Amino acid sequence: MSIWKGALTTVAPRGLGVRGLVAVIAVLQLGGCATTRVEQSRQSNAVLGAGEAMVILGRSTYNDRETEESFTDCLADILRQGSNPIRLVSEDQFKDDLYPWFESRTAPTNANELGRLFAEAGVQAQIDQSSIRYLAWIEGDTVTIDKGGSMSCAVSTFGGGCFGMSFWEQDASYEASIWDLKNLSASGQISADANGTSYLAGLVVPIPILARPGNAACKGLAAQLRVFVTGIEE
Amino acid sequence: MALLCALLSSCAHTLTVSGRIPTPLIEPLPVSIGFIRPVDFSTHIHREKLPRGGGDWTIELGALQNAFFETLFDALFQGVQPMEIAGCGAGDEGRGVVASCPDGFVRLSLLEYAFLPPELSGLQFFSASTKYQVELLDAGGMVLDTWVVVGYGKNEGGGFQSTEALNAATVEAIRDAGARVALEWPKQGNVRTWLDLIGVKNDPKPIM
Repeated sequence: MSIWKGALTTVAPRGLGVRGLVAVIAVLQLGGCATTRVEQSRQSNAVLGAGEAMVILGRSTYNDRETEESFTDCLADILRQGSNPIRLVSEDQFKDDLYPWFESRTAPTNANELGRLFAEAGVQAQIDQSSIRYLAWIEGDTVTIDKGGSMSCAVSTFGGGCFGMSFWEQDASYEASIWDLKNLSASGQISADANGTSYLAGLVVPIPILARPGNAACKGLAAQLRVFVTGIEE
Repeated sequence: MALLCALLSSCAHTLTVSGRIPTPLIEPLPVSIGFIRPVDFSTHIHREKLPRGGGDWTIELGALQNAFFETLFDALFQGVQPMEIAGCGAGDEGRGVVASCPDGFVRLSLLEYAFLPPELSGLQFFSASTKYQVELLDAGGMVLDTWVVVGYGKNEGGGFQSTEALNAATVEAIRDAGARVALEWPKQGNVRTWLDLIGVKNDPKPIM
């Protein structure tokens, strides 16, 4: 299954003073161009039952990258709301309740290790008590892949301003691996890739036109994740 | 002038590390231990002046690490008695030694704490590490095993959120070290031998 989403917005400032300020604020509320691609593979058709919950965990590895906390927070905020809200157990609560089994270096790396983990004293009981059915591991990040242009700003006793144009292109790539804690197996994967170029135009006042591919990937992944665990198409 | 004061004060950072202290979900080893820590374990303060304008840092992590490992050891062992020295010999009264002698002693000390801000690492996050030494002593006070464990943590953030990011990285480093103590230390060869000697069945399980 693939979903493609895109949006393109251009804004030109009209002048300075109140009108200029209004234009800047309006620009900040709008976005640049971001293209999102979401793909899913599914290994089981099970869905969340009544009262069952899900937990979203960000993978943190010990290299120079990790899944941003802001991304998992974004997913959680979206999934808790909407027409089919999902009961989520927070990452902090989950890690505390199951300490030391889900720390960065002790957490299971694949669903095959769940059986051994659930044999540990108290683990199964804790999961049952919280009614957690699904665990979604989020892996990925947003990186700047290109940037260019130039802008200079100056201030004097007569005033100041910025002139020029700069841009940066970002690529957001995330994958959710969903584990079924009832069947102790992997349920499927959803990946979301978004790409967008942001601009900063200096026309006396600097005017940003932001693409926010990370936000686009979050929305795309959250929408598909909701369908995946509830079985209800929006 | 106000701006200058603000800039100057931004070069000095003071952080009292704080965070949640989880109760480990582990089966306690059916042994009693005397828990020994250096006197400054609970008051440890790390002071460091970073190069290239990184500022002066004062990081108070003693209180949190002390509370953290007290909770951890309470869960890891069936009985824990805070003690100042190892041994149950005569004449130890008044030095933290109690009438009932524990099965052994565990001496925990912080060997090293280190951190790295994004400005120096070139990465986008604060990183912190804690190096602990865990010593196992028998009931007579003889050292049976010395194990060093390093915990690591990182947290994205910088600028005005630098102390919050370093706090989170430090807490993660303490948690990481604690997790390894809980899961790996009982599987160390000398520890297993000691447990076998006092009649404890301790089946090793592979670390995940």
